[in-house]
Amino acid sequence: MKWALIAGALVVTANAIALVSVARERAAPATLSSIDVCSGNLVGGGRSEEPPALLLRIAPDSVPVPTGLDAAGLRALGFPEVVIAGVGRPPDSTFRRPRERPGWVRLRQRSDSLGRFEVVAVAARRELLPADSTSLVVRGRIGVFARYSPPPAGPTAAEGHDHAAMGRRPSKGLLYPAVVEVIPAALYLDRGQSSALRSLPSDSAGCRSRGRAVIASGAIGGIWVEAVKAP
Amino acid sequence: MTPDQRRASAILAFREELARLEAEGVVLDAATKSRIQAHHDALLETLASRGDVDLVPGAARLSMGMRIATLLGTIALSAAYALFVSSHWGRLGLGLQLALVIAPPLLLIALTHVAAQHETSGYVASLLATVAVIAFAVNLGTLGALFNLPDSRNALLAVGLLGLLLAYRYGLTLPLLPGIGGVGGWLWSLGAIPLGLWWRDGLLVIEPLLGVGIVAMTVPAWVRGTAGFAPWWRGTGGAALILGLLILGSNGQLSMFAGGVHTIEIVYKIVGAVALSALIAWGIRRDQRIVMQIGTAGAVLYLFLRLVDWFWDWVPQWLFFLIVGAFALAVLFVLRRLHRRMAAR
Repeated sequence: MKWALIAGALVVTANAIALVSVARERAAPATLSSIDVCSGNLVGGGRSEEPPALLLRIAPDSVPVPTGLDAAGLRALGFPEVVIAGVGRPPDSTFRRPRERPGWVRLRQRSDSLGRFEVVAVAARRELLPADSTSLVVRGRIGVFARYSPPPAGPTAAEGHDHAAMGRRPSKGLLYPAVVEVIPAALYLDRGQSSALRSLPSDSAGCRSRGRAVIASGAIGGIWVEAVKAP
Repeated sequence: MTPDQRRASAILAFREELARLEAEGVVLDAATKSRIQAHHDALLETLASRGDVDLVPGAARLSMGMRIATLLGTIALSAAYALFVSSHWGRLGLGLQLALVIAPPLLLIALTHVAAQHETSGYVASLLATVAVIAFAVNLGTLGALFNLPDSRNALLAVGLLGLLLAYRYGLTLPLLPGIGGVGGWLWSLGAIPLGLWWRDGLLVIEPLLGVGIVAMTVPAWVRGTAGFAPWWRGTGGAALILGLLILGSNGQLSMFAGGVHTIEIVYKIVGAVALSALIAWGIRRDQRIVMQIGTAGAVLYLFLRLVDWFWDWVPQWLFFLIVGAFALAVLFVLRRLHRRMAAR
């Protein structure tokens, strides 16, 4: 019986560690940000095998390079000097793609018809990206790739689909740093929140029928959906 | 095969051979024969009372069927639980959601204990313990999704420890496998720390997997437990080691070492050839059948990959497969000579 109790204690302890840290974070003051949401942002729930969640859609190549991805920023993230020196140039034959590095990213929602997020800043530590009410700060994985389509020359907030970028195709790829994944990629929605989001008219052309979601950011990196409101 | 089963099988084989000797005219004196028979009868009775020992070939076949049924039952019950959670998730409040993921592993641990006490064969306990481990993995994964927690390597450790705890306490093989996988995966992911990587990216660095494989192979030497677990440790450890070496020999990008990818691949091809030979030799010398089998399978795969490297691009496909066939015959020839030499000793 003793060993069954030890096994049970292991289960209880693992759950307690997670739940206590969540409870502490949610009890402390949090920064609230308000974002536009539409039914297309809802993933999972209903008959799906995934729990309902609000997808953080990231726009590709949203700004030339987010702040914090310069040489000093890449160094702070742990990229080797040889990679940093190669950024903006075509990779040579000895180039070995570096592994992605963990960091923190600031996401800001675009005001275009798709309502996607763009990465505006990256940092190695969370303290370097203080939370504010106009953006979300989440974990991310940052990589350096050879890309044939360079980022646009400046912010393109008004455009929805960047058809022009599809046409630009330089003959040789250049190395660019980019955020490859944000963690979490989607935020869990409770029963009421997912119902509110599902009640918005579906919009296959983009994200025009919108509601508002209030996202809370805790003091030690937690993030959760506080409320979803239909218009 | 458990030690009890091994002993029972040896007794049955001895009786069969004794009957054959008697038919050929070689007989033991009646007193010795009856003393041996009485001793064996008592021993078989003890073994049968201690657990699930097959005393006739039909029972052995039934045992195999029961093992397959246990595995299928484990998969089916785990799928039922996971699908039940996902299909009812959206309709529940937070409290019920938490209860739905935290209670099942606890309940299944209690049921494993009860089953282990009342059903000595261990099949039901094995099934329940494995579903408990899977339910715990679902529990931690769901908790992460529910509270937007970043995924963590520590979940692998917790799940692995539960698997090992249940396997060792109740002598169950099936939960041992997620146990080895969980703890092994956690150790493998630790390679991400010195490299400054996200823990999941650590699983794309192969050298720590080689270390985990070696450690797993040595576990039976320093952890006392059910004797039947040793081949599983050695088998999974050997498989991890070979898989790692084969991957590094083919894709040097996955090495933790800086330097030319081509150089790294050549080094690991050489290391792989040496390690596979050593593994087979070790298996033969120590009479560890699983190590020898895995080493041989790895060597065949290694040879096949090298043949692809050397010939695929510049010989017609029919000739490539002819070369592979010729190599297979050569391997058979070498193994046969080895077999004859061992039989002659």
